[in-house]
Amino acid sequence: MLLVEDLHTSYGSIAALKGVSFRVPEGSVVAMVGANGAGKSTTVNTISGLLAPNKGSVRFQGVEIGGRRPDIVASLGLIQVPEGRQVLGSLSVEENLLLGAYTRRDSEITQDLKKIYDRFHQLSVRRKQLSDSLSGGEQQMLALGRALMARPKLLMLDEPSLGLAPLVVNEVFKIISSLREQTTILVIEQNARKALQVADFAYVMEGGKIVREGPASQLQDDPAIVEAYLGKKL
Amino acid sequence: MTQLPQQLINGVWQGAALALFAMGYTLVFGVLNVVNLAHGATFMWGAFIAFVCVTKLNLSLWYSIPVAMIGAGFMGVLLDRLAFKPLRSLTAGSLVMWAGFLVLLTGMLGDWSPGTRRVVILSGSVVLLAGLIQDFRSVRPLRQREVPHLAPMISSIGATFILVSLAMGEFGAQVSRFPMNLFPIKPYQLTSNAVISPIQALVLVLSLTLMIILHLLIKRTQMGRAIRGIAWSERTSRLLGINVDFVIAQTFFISGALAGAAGVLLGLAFNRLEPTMGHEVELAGLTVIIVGGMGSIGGAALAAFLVGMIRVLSVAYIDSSFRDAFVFGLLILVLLIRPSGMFGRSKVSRA
Repeated sequence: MLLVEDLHTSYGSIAALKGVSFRVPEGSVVAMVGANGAGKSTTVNTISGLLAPNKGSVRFQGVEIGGRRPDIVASLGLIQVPEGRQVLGSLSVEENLLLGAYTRRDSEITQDLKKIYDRFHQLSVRRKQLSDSLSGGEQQMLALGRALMARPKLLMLDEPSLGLAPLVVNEVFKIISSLREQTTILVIEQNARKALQVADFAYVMEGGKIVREGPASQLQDDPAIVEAYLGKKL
Repeated sequence: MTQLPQQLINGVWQGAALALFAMGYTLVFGVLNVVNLAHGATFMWGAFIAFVCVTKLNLSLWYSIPVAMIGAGFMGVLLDRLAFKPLRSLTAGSLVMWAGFLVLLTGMLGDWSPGTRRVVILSGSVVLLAGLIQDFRSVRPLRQREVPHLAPMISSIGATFILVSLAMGEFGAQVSRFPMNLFPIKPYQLTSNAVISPIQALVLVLSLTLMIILHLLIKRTQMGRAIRGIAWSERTSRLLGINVDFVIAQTFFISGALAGAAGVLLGLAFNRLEPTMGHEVELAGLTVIIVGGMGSIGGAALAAFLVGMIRVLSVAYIDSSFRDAFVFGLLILVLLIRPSGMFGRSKVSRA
């Protein structure tokens, strides 16, 4: 579904991606793990069109989208849930959700809104509140719900667990695995253990390159990965 | 004090027209974080477009007002694409637009025979339009960058000079007036000592109607949510699939149309049109949006009534030369007590 080949992106003269290639097959959950500064967010932002690649190609459902405007990429059904949730704080919860459906022109938006409220009960309680006033966990639910309102074909989650309490992190990953019948997912995470638990396939990034790839279950047991990213179990 | 009811009525209708002006002003600020100082020039052009409709095209006032609003709205869009957008993201279309615009200016201000003038103006407009279309369709800008707030502000001052000069060239520096028979002048008696003229009533009713429409547009429609979304975060809005530059153009259209409406209405009410008529309302409007809280539409509406009232009352009871002193006194007072304005969000809470 998504095919990234030899992607190079730089910030001015500093190269952040040095030839990244990977694929996300339809219906799968793919994880990309790695330390801070490895280039994971740069990768999703290049795919989303926020950054222009210097070289390489991004193909989504067979269409080249590298360097396209972000709103065009989103309207193709490739939706990013950005790092740090990024809810629109001056808008209410419901307005955030409705804006999630901005690219849609069909008549089932109110139906979908109801589905989101059924799935995320807290959001329905707080629907008229400004999203700025929500807790971190609630904001992450809102960011997820808002992305789902677009009926994404591919959902890219950038660090969904960042800055959340451990219990909330568990809940977020429970939701992510419950989304797999609904959409294809690419999840970017520093929390490698959690990400590898929900993913089918995973890539490990380091210094702007993919250094390792394999089925998630296999990487979970890989001694080198365990040492570098998961820490020893006591 | 027997004239107080009358003064209050004057304050209300003048405040309502000022609110129209200020709401468009603050709307653009909310989205772009830029003070569009050419807003007053758009206001003035709105008045003159209606003037041309009435005197040259013999349209009725009921058609002239919407035509002026649409015209001023498109002027707002052009302003964005010529003066503001090239600073954010420059496209080939922006350059073509500028070339066309310069030809258009030469045609309008140069010393030509009528035939040549028409050809030059027409060809300039065609090039301008072609550039505008390319700019709207452009997928990848030549250059994209963050600019300091000062640059677009200076560029809007430049736009003001151009727009005022164009009006001077077209209508002369003297005062133009609408024909006297345009509107009934017999005032309605509201109470024993307060009257409102039909034109003042029209200003009040139309302003309030447009305020309600704007409120619904901003609060209830997807376009309004997108405008507010961009005001909060441009980047996140892009990720939601919002074509930010297009929504900004829509914002400029709404803002320009409101300024144009205010221009026609105040132009009619005082029956005094001149190319520099935008300057005074520009300053009053700036006070209003700062007092209301930059970017707050409701705040601007409320502050407009407050400023309108202070202007009218200070003229009636103190001295007309002190009018602006009281208005700016209010500005200083509000800034001392609440630096972010009555309904402004302080930036700290966004961290």
